[in-house]
Amino acid sequence: MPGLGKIIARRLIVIPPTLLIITLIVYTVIRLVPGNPVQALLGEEYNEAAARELEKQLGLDKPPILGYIDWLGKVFRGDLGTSIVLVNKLKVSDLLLQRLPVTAELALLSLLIGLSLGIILGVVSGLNRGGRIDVIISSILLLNLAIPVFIRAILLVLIFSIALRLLPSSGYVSMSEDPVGNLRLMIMPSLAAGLGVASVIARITRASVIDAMSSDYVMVAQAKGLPRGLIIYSYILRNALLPIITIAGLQLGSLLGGLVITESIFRIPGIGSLVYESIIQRDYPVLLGSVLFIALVYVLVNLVVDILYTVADPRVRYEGDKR
Amino acid sequence: MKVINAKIFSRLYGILKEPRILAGVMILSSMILVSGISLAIGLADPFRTMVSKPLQPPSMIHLAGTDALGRDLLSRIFLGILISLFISLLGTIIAFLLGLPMGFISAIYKGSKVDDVIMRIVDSLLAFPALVLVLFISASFGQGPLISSIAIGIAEAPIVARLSRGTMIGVLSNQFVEAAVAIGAGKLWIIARYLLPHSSSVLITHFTLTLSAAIILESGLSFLGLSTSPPILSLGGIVREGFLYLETAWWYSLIPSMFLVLLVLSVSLVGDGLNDAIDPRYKVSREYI
Repeated sequence: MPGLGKIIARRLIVIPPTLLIITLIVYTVIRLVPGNPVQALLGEEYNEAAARELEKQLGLDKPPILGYIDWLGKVFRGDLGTSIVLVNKLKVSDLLLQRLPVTAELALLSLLIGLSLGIILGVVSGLNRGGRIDVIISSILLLNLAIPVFIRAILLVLIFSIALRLLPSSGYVSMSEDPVGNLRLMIMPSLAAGLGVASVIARITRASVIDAMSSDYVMVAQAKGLPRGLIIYSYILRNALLPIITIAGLQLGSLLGGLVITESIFRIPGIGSLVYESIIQRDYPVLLGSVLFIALVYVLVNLVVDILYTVADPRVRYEGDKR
Repeated sequence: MKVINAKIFSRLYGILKEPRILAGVMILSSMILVSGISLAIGLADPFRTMVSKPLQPPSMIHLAGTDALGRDLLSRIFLGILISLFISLLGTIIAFLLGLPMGFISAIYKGSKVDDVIMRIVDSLLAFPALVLVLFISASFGQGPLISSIAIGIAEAPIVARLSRGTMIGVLSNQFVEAAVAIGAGKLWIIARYLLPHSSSVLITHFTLTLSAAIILESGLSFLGLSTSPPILSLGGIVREGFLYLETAWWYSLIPSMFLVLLVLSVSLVGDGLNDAIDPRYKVSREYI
């Protein structure tokens, strides 16, 4: 058995180049902006002082390569510049940290809903493959996959806020101020985002349950006459649910993307609505900082997920070493 | 010639026999035809405002009600369907123009430095959630339908690259390709003679699935008001307008939403059906799209 440390080290090695390319992609986009980039990016907010500021921040007063190195140095020191629209000149990094807990709560709740609902539906559907329950669940999942997150949000608001008047349609209070109020406001946004995740998780769970059911070890278990509950629990589910860890990590990406829409519909002051506001207000440093931050979070979370998976499934270690 | 025609027809018939594909094609084509024809002959007029009839609920004259300016909502939805389809179709084509060559080159030079570099770029691009990348690009280059298409194309390209690389590696591992290489066939010949024909059905499936992802992406972008601008709005943009009147006029956002879901559903039905119909060795894992 090869060392776990070696495999983790191999996963870590690709992180720096990936992060470097991410910054390079972002910087290339800035440099490709036609004409006078500062003027184009700032739009109506254009004034000399702001223009100088942005030019200096992005190294636009230098040739591309020098400018990139300059900018990269700042980014790695955590200096993402300052907002050019907000009056009190907030630092982008402070702004991001201030909004992170809100988005983290929403993302965790959505993942929780997505995973639990997805796994239950997927397992039920997979165990009854071809049966009536399977057909019903699969059709609902297919329909749900075709519904964009904002339509789910609108349906939820129509049902729970306008028709039933059960939940407030938008707004935010923090968990520490008013826990019940916080949850009441978070239910619909995390349902809107989480139901999307649930469809994907359910489809994969179903496929891997079916896969595990047709495997040799399950057949042996059945031939031995083991009770059905035992086979389902410790033979099928334990093997089928492992890949879900990885998928949940990958799903975080589309979840974070969807949160831009969800947070702006429900007026939740997280990183998603920060992205939206920065675009509307043409606060380019804030947009840039948030985009980089989201990509960084995605890469790091998936690194952790990868390592977890390696620890959880010895087969990965074995196969990883063969390669 | 006749034999070939018969073959194509029997194959087409075989594909259309799959109920999901048939349903998807019928829904999609009737949506396009009905909207296109009624707009062309003037039956539907998305621009005529009737100040006296704002926000009317659905009735026999206005099947989907009217909007805030008294325009017929159904006519606007018809136009929206075509706009949504146009932007996302263009985006998907761009994604394939960018992603296919990357995947092909990567597969041919599998294991080399070139492959490494391309795959690293693909991984890095995938670290941006598609919607965030699209927002970033369209915010940088100015908003509009064309920029939206390009941004959608760039955001979907890495997925196309990764899937087509996998497909190509599958085709390349066949013995007939090895045989061709052994008798000295060039890289271009192998691409033209073996890779393209053997992967065409898979690529068409990819294309359909990418298109449904692109429609959703475009709808999100225009729901945020960053793609099309009034009065020519895609479906997402109309839903956005209606969202402002959610309490008083439910139909304003709900009916265009239904058409949007129907559009995505019809395309993904075709994609899913094709995916099950093609050679299982090259099956697309839909989950990653």
